[in-house]
Amino acid sequence: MRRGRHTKHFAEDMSSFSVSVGDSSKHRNIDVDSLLREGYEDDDQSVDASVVASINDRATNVRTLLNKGDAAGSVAVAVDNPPFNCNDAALKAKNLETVMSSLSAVRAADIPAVIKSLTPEQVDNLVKYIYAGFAIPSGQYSGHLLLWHEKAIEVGGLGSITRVLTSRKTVN
Amino acid sequence: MPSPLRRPGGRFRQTIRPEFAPWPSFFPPPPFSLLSPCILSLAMSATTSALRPYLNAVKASLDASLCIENFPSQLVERHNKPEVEARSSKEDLLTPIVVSRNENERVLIESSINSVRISISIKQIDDIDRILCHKLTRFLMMRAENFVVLRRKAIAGYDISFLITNFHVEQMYKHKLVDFIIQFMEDIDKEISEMKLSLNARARICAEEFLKHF
Repeated sequence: MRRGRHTKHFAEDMSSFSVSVGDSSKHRNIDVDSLLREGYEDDDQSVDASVVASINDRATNVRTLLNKGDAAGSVAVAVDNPPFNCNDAALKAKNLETVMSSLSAVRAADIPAVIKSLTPEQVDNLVKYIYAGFAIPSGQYSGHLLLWHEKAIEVGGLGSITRVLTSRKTVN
Repeated sequence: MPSPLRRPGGRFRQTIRPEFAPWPSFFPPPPFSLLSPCILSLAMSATTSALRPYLNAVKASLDASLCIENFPSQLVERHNKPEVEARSSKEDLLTPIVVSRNENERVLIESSINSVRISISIKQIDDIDRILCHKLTRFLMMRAENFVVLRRKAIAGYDISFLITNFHVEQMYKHKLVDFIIQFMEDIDKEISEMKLSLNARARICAEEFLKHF
């Protein structure tokens, strides 16, 4: 009798125990990234006007410099201050297109000199853009980007690739 | 004889087979030992100079992404799953990167805290290439356990995938693993173009023999 009651209580204890285990591992399933500021998706998906303005400015500046024949200067403008906090894929694609037009205008022999003139942050951004360019399905820039990649890694080292892998500030 | 691919002080007792090569032992052996990829790649650097920047980019990306450590499953006690496959939580995964040469030739590198998945898309220009590539990769993937790091099924959109876990990096030298992947990419292109040439030659001989009667 007593033993039976004990078993029953034990079973109840066990069931409550398993429920509590389920509760305690529930936090594993919470997508923390979606709640943090960078990836947080606001209810209204509108993009900040200043971000759009900066993307458009960059496009015009790069085009002006390319028309002047200053490809090296256009790269510095293109890779500076990327729109990291922009959630709009179309805008990011447009920005990527701007950067690619600038990168593909530089001749292969000039690439090392251009990279040497960039700051370390700009080199990191450049490597991010290079990988974004590799990911374009048509692969139209890939051949030229391979040259850029080689030279950029000579300056930035493996650290700049690691920052592409780990950083949540992406350009595409 | 200890394989040079094996670390001397490795904790894990799994033997790395000497035929750790992209084809099994009953294929005719290549002219050089495949276990000396450096010598081989030096010997072939002249022929594949067009491919070299691509392979260098892949090599640098692999070097950076093969930075993995032991990481037990957060959901199941005493399990150890490759997070890139299990995808149990987002913070264990890194941004996947692509290195491409043109629209057909690309490598996708997906890294996580304890494993890296490398998917290769092999150059296929015409239907013969497509058939040969399909046959060859299927042949290899059916024997995936002999190749240790080969994945049994390729990722959608790619022809062949490798899965490297922290245990592989503990057992084998990292630079040899990277060299193996690079060597594989170099050889598979060559292999397919050679097979295509011999297929065409054979077809020509067959056609000649057949048409002699008319």
